[in-house]
Amino acid sequence: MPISYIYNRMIREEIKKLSKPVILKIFTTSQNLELSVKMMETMSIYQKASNGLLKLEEYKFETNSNLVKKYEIQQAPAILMTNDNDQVLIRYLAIPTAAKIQPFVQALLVLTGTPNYYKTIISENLNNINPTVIKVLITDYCAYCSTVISICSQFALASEGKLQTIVIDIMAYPEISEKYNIASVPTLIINEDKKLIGDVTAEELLYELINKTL
Amino acid sequence: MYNIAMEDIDPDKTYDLIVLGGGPTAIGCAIYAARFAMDVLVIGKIFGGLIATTHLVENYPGITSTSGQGLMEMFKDHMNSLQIPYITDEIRSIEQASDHFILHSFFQKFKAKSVVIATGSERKKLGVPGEQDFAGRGVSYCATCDAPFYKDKTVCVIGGSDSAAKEALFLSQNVKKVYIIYRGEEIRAEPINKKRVEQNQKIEIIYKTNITEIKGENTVNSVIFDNGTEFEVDGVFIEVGSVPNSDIAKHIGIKTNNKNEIIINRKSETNLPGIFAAGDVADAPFKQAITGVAEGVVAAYSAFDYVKELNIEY
Repeated sequence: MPISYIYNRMIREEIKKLSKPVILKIFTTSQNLELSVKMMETMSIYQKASNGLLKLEEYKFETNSNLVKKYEIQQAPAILMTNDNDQVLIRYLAIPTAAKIQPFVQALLVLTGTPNYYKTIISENLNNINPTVIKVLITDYCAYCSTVISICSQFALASEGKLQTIVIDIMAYPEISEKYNIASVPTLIINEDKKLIGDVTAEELLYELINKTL
Repeated sequence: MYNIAMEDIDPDKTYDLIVLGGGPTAIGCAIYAARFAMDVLVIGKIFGGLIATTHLVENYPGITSTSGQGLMEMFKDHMNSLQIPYITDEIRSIEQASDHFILHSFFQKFKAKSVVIATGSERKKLGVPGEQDFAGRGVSYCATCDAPFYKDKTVCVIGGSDSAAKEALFLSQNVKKVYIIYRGEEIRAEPINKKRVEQNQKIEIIYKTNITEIKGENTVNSVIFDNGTEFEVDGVFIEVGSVPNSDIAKHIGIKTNNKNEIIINRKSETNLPGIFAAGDVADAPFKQAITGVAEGVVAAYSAFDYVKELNIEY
């Protein structure tokens, strides 16, 4: 059975959990056409299985300069999850397949009102957290990446816009892997400054964000 | 299947059973517990456990060949079909109350009448200079995660177990050359994997050798053998066994052996009534996914019996 069949089935099963409408903005580009096409094909599977609840807004990078600037699109294709204030909370520079399916759908569920496991702890510590961009560098087959994506995504969703999580598939964006000299996944880059490698727990990430040690 | 909707988790609720762990033992236990109509919750640090990092599983009866992640996807499907809740978190301590246990994580508190500890093990460190410095920069404990970074490069696998052999076989699909470096005279892989290693032209075994240091600049570029030789490699994959994650048991007075494994009987009972253990964290002589699942299932049955007795008393 082709692996894509298995992942497509997983997508259809997971997205069925969505119970409220959500809109995703997707920026595609002719400069990365193959990846852009694959991303839209995958997102189409999500959309078709969502009972009309998932809406996709596709924007071409080349012809939407205002939006590109507004949302600070530096690489495409990219999927944006935004809050009610149109702040980008989660950005996917990755096609949400394989290990990314569940944390992706989980993020959609939380974005549409499912309670967030880390909401209380993040809220309690919000004053101690500076605006932070968390880059999560992953590959499709990394065993621990799913859990780390999930944690970082939920932190961002709980942070009232202070945190932004960017999920980056370094096989799709090898230049990013080279930029950060990545030799292991998952790797977190916190505000271009700190690198955390491996199965980072929620507790470790929280302490990093509030600048304390465990 | 990670954190589930909070409306499905009531922090004031006392579960019949909370299973600690995210691997096949924990999930197998939870499946049986759910089928016994127990109110069960699974709390695991990483879904899939160690087996999720294995690229090839060929000895799980009923499944000719799959990856570790593939196996855990099947477990997850089964768990989902029974709507068993799973939380990504780590329980740090267990406290005994009158007729239940209170489990504390950093984020939450949970209550349960019974607990199964199936927290597995984690990979043992080599404990040599350079190992920590180069973690993620040439030192790895997960070939399935990191093999793509070593395309056309030379790597070594430290260890002589079946896991080390399988890591080498997986790496050989990606890299230019793999050296297995082992302190013994013969690797201890399953005969089928030993044969595959021997027939693989990209893999070479260096016997009776220990690593004393890992060296490099930005990334690893060599290891030092115990005979003083400096050997050039681009990556070091460490597969020298594992240590059980049993600290949580020790804090509450559960007995462990000199290998820090939780001591259990044939009913997966520990010395503390109401707390059971199974899988890699427990003291079985031969540890495999299937044996862990078997112990987990027995633990579920024992927990079911225990809770039934508790309910009768009250």
